[in-house]
Amino acid sequence: MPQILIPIVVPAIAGGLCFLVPRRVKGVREVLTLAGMAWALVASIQLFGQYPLAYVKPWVTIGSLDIQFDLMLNHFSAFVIIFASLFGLGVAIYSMGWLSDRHDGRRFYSLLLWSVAAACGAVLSNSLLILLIFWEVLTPILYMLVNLGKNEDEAARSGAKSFVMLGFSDAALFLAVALIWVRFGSLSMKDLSIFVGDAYTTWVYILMMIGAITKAGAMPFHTWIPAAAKGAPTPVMALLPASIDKLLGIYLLARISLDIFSIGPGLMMLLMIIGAVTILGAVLMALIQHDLKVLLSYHAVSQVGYMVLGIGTGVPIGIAGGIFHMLNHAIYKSCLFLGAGSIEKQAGTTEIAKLGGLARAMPVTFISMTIAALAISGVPPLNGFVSKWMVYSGVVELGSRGFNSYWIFLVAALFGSALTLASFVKVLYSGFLGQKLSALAHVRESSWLMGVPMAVLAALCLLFGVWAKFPIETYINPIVHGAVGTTAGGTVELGTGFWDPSGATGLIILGIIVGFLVLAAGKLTKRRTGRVFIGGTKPAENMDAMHVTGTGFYETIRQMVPFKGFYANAEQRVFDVHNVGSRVGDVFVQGLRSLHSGVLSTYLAWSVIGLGAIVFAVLSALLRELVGN
Amino acid sequence: MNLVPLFVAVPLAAAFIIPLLGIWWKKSGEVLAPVCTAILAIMAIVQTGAPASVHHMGGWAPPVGIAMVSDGLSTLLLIAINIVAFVSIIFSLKYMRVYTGLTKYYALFMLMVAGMNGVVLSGDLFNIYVFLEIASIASYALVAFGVDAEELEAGFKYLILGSVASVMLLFAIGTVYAVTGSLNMADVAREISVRFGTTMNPALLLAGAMFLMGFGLKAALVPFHAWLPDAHPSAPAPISAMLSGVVIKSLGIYAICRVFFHVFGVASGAGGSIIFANAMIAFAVLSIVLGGLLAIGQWDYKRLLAYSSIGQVGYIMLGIGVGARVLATGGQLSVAALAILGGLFHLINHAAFKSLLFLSSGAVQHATGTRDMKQLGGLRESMPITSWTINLGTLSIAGVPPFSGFWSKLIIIIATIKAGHYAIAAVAMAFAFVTLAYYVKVQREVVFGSVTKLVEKAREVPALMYVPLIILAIVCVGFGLLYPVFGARILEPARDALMNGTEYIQLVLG
Repeated sequence: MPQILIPIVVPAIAGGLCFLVPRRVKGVREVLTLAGMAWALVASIQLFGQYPLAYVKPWVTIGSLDIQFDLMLNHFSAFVIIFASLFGLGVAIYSMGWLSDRHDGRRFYSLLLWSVAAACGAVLSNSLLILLIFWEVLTPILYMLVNLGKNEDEAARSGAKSFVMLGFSDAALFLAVALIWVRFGSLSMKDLSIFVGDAYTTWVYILMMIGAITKAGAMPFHTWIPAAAKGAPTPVMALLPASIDKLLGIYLLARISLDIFSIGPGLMMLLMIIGAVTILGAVLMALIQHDLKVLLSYHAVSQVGYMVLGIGTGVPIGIAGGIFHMLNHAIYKSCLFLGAGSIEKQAGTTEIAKLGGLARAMPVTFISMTIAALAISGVPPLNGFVSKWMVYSGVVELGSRGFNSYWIFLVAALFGSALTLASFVKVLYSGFLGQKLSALAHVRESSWLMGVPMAVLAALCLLFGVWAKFPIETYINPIVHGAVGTTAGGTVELGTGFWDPSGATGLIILGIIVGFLVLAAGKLTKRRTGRVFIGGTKPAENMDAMHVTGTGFYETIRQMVPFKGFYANAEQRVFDVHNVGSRVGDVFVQGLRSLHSGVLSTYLAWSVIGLGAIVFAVLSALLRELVGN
Repeated sequence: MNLVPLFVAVPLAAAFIIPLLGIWWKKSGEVLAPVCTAILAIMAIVQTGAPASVHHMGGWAPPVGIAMVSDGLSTLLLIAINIVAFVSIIFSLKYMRVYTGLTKYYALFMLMVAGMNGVVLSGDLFNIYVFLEIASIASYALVAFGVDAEELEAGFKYLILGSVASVMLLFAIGTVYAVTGSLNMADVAREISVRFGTTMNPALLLAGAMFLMGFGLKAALVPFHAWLPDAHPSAPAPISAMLSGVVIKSLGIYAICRVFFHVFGVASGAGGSIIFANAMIAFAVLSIVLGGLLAIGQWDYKRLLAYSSIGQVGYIMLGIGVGARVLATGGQLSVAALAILGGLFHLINHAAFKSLLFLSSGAVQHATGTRDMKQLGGLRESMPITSWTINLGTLSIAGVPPFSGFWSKLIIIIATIKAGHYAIAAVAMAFAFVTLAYYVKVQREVVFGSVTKLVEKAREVPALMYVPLIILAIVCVGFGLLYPVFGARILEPARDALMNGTEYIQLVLG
């Protein structure tokens, strides 16, 4: 078997075998899953650097349509499959701890393997049609995975919503692929080079863009991610919406925007606006969430904004930042979701108000989540900071090229980052610090199977931040050179505005050490502890009454003037395309249903009108011919 | 030996013998009907790839005698009709136990099969009418078989609207006879092309309009669709599967294809052919839009499937209409071929997945006693096999790759774009998405979600009911993955037969 097929075929077969293993047999599925994921990962790493590697095989000829199974490994896809299979492996290991008390491992592991296979297939495709097929296959897989959630009604609802919204984006992509095929006669992403000038090509680009950004989860097609978060098992959230879907969506967006199409400033501007609106809108929603998983899912939307914004700048450093942010986001967001899952499993809830003081009981979860939370908030020297910095630099550079309103986007991006930090302060404080609720007294750290993937991802956050040069030079630069090289004609240096974190890292580590020293010094002095005494009465025996959760502080924001209207509308789901669409559709449906009254004479009348219409058309044609002659 | 007459003779004989034997032997239908349909299904499969042939009844040569013509197009329909009939009969064995008068049921069923096989094999217009009436009248009775108020009302509406269509057809056939002096389709076609060429004859155009209305009503194209959403859900599930799976296609779509492509010569640009092609496209788009919108608002499981049939027939008609229009306007032959191939591909796909879905809904109704989706939920635990077949059926019809619906949708949309109808392609795509949306609703309400009270007691249906489901599910998956196997054997001959009107004339008249 050609090596390029391994990341697709091996997980797919392993998934099939997992499905066939009888329900009662234990252990085999886990081994199969690990082996499949690990093999895919090893093969992907071996493939790295072996490009351009093509694999073309005629598949099927339907009528006059020749469909070729056309794969191609290039720098970008090589890099994406490594991380897709890495996340697959991590989540698989994690799931072994997570699923220990559940019986539906059969479906879970096979779907997990299939989703990695489909993702690798989509990324490796050189033919747009093959990409479309793998892309669409991933949608029902996600749907089935969401439906494995514990709360069946919630899972069914959120799964259906995700399937419908992704189905819409798949349909858009489908139409775009068909339009490209007809107009340009080729589906090869390598050969296609489309100048967006007329209405046709603009529509094609916009349709493809809808496909890409819905998968990634940018506004206004983002609402499936928070919906999925409500129902899906948490490891599924960590694998699909948080990492693989982001990788795929941004991969496609970058390919179409930089490589296949050459788009004008108008569409670039559109991308930047989508990016900026997504950053701010989603982070504002995240601020007021009380459920950890939903909060994380809004951040998964918000962060997409940086990626879209970075790509939309069209400046090398911005593009590099966008793509690097895609990778970084996948790392820290999976880590956060895995942490949330760990809390959910041990504490039984992800509602922030019901958590508190878990830091001591769950140190691994606490430390990895803290690192990931700081990374997503863009705190140096973690990876999120580096990629965000690159995106900012891209926007600034755009300004220096004469784009005067660049500051709006810069402010949006910076402000979004600040609000991200604000909302994660809530998570860290309410979840891990403060007083431990008595209901959580029994909570212990999750098993090492769950701990290891979290710790590894957290370590990656730190590594890719401090030694950002390594991922940027190995993975990102060649992509940007390749992409920008083909469209703008010439390679570009990334040097401008690049952040060198070594000095700052030293200072930060020094700061942390000083902080610990101060803390230690404080502990040396004696503290006086006394009973709580309020207004002459003893507080309840249950110290839970004294529990202060972080969520209350954020009520202020909800009530603040500029945001109040926004939140009120958001709660009415005015910004939810799915909801608006179904409401509009419902008007038509009800109208049509009331027409179908069941009265036979009405139905007969319709038939007669139909006949009359044909006869009318025929007669008018006849008359036209008579008059013409 | 020529098998062609047996496709009509076997079911017709069975329809006669079953009630006769039924006087003494209650199980006559349950034994004879499966055997006959099995023989028919095997014959249909054997028939694939056979060269086109004509059978002269009683040795009388056309145009005087009656001819039975078997070409690629009829073979395609024969396969669909007889396999779906076999599967539905097997499903009926257990499912129909709750009804009485079973010998009548099986007799009517065989009569319906005989009628449909007759329609797709007839070489002359009047016999098409006769067989169409046989199939229709059998189906009116079968729709009302439950004799509850709702079923009788549905059967009555179907009867009235169906009769209107039949009258129109008879009138159209009479007009054609008056103009050309013949009823043999090949003879009529030659007459029309020789005498009128590309000029328009008012009488023939009127006949064409009535043909389109009459067959369009049988095919349930909007605005002639109103009988379907009552009739299909009211019938017993195997009959719903037959009606949606093959009846609307053999009596409607097939007849439209045969009459307009082969008799009226739409493909060779005969007078008025552009109007008819436009009308086909217009009705197709209306069906796609209204069928989709109406399906999404339904909570009755079978009614949702019925509205979905209207939309899906729209896709079949769209492919064929676009092909007809391209041919009529003298466009590229390859585009027309692609469009027609897409339409025919969707025809057999729809036969497979819609009968699968209707039979699955029957299984669900059998196990839970309801078809109200609000009262269903969480079937995946209690009815795993049925749930899987529902999932495969819905994924196929929603056009998710690699299942069958994806490919036919792909071909139809690409052909529509190639023909230059961008807006129609966009509408078709948008409503393909709507199709996905309402089938996701079915899954959400029926398969997934929490277990409702009615479902708690539900058990998986017996093997005689789930084996047919599994067979059809395999067919759905096979149609998606194995185009090289069946495409060249059954789809491409059907397309070529449809596109070559002159070949048909030569075949029949020699």
